[in-house]
Amino acid sequence: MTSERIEALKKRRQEEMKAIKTRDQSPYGWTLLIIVLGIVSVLFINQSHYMWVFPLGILIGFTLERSRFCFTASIRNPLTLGTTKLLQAVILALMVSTVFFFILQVLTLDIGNFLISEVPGTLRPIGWNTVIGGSLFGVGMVIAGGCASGTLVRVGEGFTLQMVVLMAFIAGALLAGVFHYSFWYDSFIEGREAIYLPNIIGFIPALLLQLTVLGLLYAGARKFAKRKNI
Amino acid sequence: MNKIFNKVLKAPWPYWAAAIILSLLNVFLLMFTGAPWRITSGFLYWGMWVLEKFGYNDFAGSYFEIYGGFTAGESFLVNTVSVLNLAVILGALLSVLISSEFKWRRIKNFKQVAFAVFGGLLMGYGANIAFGCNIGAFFSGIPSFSLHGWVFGVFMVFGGVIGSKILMRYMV
Amino acid sequence: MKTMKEEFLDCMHEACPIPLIKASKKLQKMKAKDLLIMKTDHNCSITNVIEWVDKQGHKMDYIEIGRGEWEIYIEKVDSHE
Repeated sequence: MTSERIEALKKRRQEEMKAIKTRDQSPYGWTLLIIVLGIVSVLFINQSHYMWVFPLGILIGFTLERSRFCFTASIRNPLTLGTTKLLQAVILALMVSTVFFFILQVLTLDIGNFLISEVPGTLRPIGWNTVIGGSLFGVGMVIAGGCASGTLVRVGEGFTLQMVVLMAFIAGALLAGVFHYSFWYDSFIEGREAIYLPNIIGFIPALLLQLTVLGLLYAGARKFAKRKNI
Repeated sequence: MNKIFNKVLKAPWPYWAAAIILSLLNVFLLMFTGAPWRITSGFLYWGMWVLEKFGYNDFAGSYFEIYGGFTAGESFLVNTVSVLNLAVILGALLSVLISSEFKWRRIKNFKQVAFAVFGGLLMGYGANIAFGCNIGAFFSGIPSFSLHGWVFGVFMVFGGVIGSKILMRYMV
Repeated sequence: MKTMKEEFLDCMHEACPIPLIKASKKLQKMKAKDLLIMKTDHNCSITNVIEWVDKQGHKMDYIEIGRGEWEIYIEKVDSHE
């Protein structure tokens, strides 16, 4: 909410700023849009392998930038500032995608007679690698000022610092994914199968359980924001 | 007209709207490409591509050797996740140019770089041993009903708590 | 009219969330009705600051002063009012 004095200050500062010339960048934007549309149509005409990945990636990047959606902030802000709108949005997104992923999985699978590898989605085994990896990732994203998606978006926004993060991310990926991978694979991953929730408790209970847990987390986040004032 | 432009292409979208759009885009990715949104393996692909250009190609026991997906001697556009990542960068650039908010944002001091490198290394290492980052393991893993998504999420929050303590203590 | 102070906080080239944490520390030291002028070039700052300031009950608005640079104005409201 604004006030009279802020309005007066805004006016004064806007007068002072008039001397500074700023350039309209939108022509570059529209040009880039035409190029992107051109690439998309070429991909579609050739029925390319990438004809869906490319336009969907563009839309994801656009949405993330436009909304300033940030997974890191969704975890960090409740702890450092007591605000939870982003956390609530992330939980909401998980709820919406849970429902649609469920529909897709039920429609695709021959229920009662399917392999884990046939389930649409990202299904991976659990081990100490998940625990250690998740913790390292959590520390890293807060001190680097952005997660994997946030880093990509900020590179697009022109942040030199996030280009450094990206290079370090790639170096870390190489260290783990090439040079140390056989250690992690042999110790924790080999021979394990992903745990698919509907296989344990059934399809409908899995959906209801997951939505309930996410709903409780959403309500908890709201309550936390009301109580905590930093 | 100008009002609509300001609302859609200038003012930030509400988080909840972005949440719904992002989940639908993720569902479309799963529907049309057979796999949901993921990022990390694309970074590994870029790294291996660079190593190969420098003449290193001993990738025995690596992630891609076990699960497939790295084509030796190919352009870095051969991998789906690599293309997806480039598209996300391009999409963000598109948005920031249309709203006239692009700027080369320079680095302020060495402290920033040190934390950026350290954080980036931790993220890259953690994501590659855990089968994914905040997107692949968390944002796509949980809706896939794979328990690893929840485990990853819990420990990502745990790491986030430690990271926030470091941030408040050393970075402000 | 009593004199009101204008404080200035330069957060250019600072990474998220440092601008907002600095602002919250500065606001704590300020008196009610003082104005804080914050300068930032971080795209995420706007949404983060709006949410936090709204929650605190202060008054605020912002203008874009250059391409990808913003000035945020916060008027401190006494929480005991």
